[in-house]
Amino acid sequence: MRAGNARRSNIPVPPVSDPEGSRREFLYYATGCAGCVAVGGAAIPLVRQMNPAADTRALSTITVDVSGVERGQQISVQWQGKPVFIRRRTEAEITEARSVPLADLRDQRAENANISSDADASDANRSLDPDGEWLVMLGVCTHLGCVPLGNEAGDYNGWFCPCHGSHYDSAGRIRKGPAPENLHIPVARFEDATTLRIGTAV
Amino acid sequence: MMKIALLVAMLMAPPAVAQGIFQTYDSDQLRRGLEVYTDTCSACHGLKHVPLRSLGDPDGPALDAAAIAAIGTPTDHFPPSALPEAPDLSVMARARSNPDHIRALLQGYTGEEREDHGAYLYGNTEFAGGWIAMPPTGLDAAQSEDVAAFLAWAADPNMAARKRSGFTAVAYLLVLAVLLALTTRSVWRRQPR
Amino acid sequence: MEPYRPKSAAARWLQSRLPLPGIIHHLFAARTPRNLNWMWVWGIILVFCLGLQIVTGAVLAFHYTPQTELAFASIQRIVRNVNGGALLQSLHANGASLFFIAIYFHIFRSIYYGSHKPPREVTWLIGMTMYLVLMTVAFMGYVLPWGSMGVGAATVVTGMFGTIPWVGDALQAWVLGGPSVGNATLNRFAVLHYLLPMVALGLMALHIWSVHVSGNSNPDGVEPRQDPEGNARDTLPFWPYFVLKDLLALVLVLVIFFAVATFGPDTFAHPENFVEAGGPITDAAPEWYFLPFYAILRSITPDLWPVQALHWISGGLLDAAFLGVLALFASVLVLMFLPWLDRSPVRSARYRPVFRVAALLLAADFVMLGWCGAGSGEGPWGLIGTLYWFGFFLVILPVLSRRERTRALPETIGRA
Repeated sequence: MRAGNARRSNIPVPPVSDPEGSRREFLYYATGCAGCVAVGGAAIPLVRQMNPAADTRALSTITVDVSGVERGQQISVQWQGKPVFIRRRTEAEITEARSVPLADLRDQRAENANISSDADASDANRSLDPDGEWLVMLGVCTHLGCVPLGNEAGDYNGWFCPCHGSHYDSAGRIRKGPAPENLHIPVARFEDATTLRIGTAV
Repeated sequence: MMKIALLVAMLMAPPAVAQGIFQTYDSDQLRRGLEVYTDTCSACHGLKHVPLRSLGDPDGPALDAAAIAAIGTPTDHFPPSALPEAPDLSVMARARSNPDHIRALLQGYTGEEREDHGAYLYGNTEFAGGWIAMPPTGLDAAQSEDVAAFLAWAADPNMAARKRSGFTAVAYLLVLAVLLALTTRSVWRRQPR
Repeated sequence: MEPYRPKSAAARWLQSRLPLPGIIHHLFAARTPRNLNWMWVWGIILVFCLGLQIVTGAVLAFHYTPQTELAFASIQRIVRNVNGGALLQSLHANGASLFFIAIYFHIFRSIYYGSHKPPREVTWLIGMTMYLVLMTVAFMGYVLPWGSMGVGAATVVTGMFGTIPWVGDALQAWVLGGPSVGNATLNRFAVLHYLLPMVALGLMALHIWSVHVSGNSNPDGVEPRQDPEGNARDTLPFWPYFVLKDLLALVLVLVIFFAVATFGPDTFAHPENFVEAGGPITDAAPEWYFLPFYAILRSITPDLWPVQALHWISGGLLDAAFLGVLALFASVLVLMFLPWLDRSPVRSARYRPVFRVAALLLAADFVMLGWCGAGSGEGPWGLIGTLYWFGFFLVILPVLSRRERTRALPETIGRA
């Protein structure tokens, strides 16, 4: 037996053409790898527990009863710690928003989480329903996160951010001031005629 | 020494241990238990730590989303106890050393009752002291078993998931132990003398 | 051991600025007695336990609320809502049990093989200090879930301070931050439960350092030869021989640990701790690992004549409650003095036939006391166990140190 010889003479066995040696080497590597995998596996729950917990995830969707919202009115609801503006627009607001040439817009993208991210910022891509009656947006200024004032405020009959003077039009698109993007539109859809669901279930 | 101790431990382990390792919840039974709980227990008791959404857990009662939405929002919990003296049952099943306690208690009424300083007490063989303030529920044996199973789930909803991770961990560690044992033996055999 | 010569440029760079590579090298190259048996694996398991408790404890602390109104619910939230929270909570709670199992094996190994004897007394003292710190940590951790059993135990344990003559009541209020276990108590216990493990971590570093100064003890209790040839015959480097052996033992222990933590997470728990505190305290039992000392506390009853005598001599100042508390603390603290109580020049029980029996009886006594602590506390066994506990340390050890006829020691480890 070679191992026996090696033990007696105390000389390391050369790995070349030494089946027992290479088997041994394989065993050592296998053990080392298995140990590393065990340590890595132990890290998984430690990392996962930092993710939002089940009760927090349960808050990822809310339903809003919009039956009381008349045309020209706006309500604001809290969703994931942020205000969401739900506005039922008047015919005049819709017409005004649809008459704006796309070239005049600073942010050319719809910023609408319900449709493709490269969709253009036309009013049809901003409103929730085909008629353009419902506009649902995060009430967070894209400049530095203040809450813009609504109800036909600002120079473009939309929203106006009091912090640094950003003006949004009646489709929530940035027209003037420091903000770089249109007001963001969260995932939202009508469950039925009067119930709006905001957010995606996780 | 070690081997003898292990052998003794294996011989002493009651079959209940083996049963405990493989036991999981039966969704149908949990749904029946939920019904008993809602119809009877919830008149006085609460389950304030149990979120309604966990009723949809496939390891638990596995209710569908519509059924849960009918009773509350995803963030709602079961209501707390309606009577201040009725204990919350969220973890009651783990708070008693006898795993059969709740079923035995529901079936343990002797039919006797007595008045003690204006409070009515009912004879119950399972309750410590033999007299309990909770009046008999009238649940039959099957209902008692179902609601006990439901409360066991409510107290430990993660049992099935925890056991699955346990099987993975134990199996993996056993493989690692074998590899380490072979490596250790190989290294020790080649120690310099 | 040959001096450390850094192999890589990076190691050389660091070594000349902070000799960390050298320290790590010396830890792994340490010459370790060849004959260490499986009782020498508990040290590595204890290192693992402290790491496990600190890591799982830190992540549980992310989600735990140390406030009496919210503490119980926050644990329920961890178990029900936090990703993997049930497993982490179970690992932490059962980790405490594993910790103490390992501690007791580790301590018993030292007693049995005389590891505490010169030149290793400092290692022993650091270890015992760590044990006291960890007992405090475990006790406080028992209170944090705000279950009725933990709060009951906190009431009883802090009540021990109240039995001290004259200053008791003031001291108890100082510990609790109020007339009873309340929010102030919970807050300070939570903070100390996070802080003291860091103290234990520091002590562990000192403990390991001191082991590396004096070298490992071994089951024969004779020191390895110091001449190069003899040393090479008596010892092996820590890496890879003992690292692998220790890791194997750790993995085998973890198999059992994970099985308990996942299949029977409540095996070592008190069911009553699942009842939120706030109701009347009807029962208060400590965690299983304190039961032997709890039995010693309860064995001192007012009907014992020495207790009555002391009560009479002190004019009523010393009562059974206070004497029980004294016995409890003395039973732990007596361990501190072990190196000066057991003065026998022979370390290992292998060569001390009478001591061997006495030490094994001590282990049996400890188990029996634990059984007494879990029971109703009636009957003579608690008192018998207490008497043997103190008798072993204060009578048997000093007498055996002088009188025992020991067997001939082997010349060297190799010849054993």
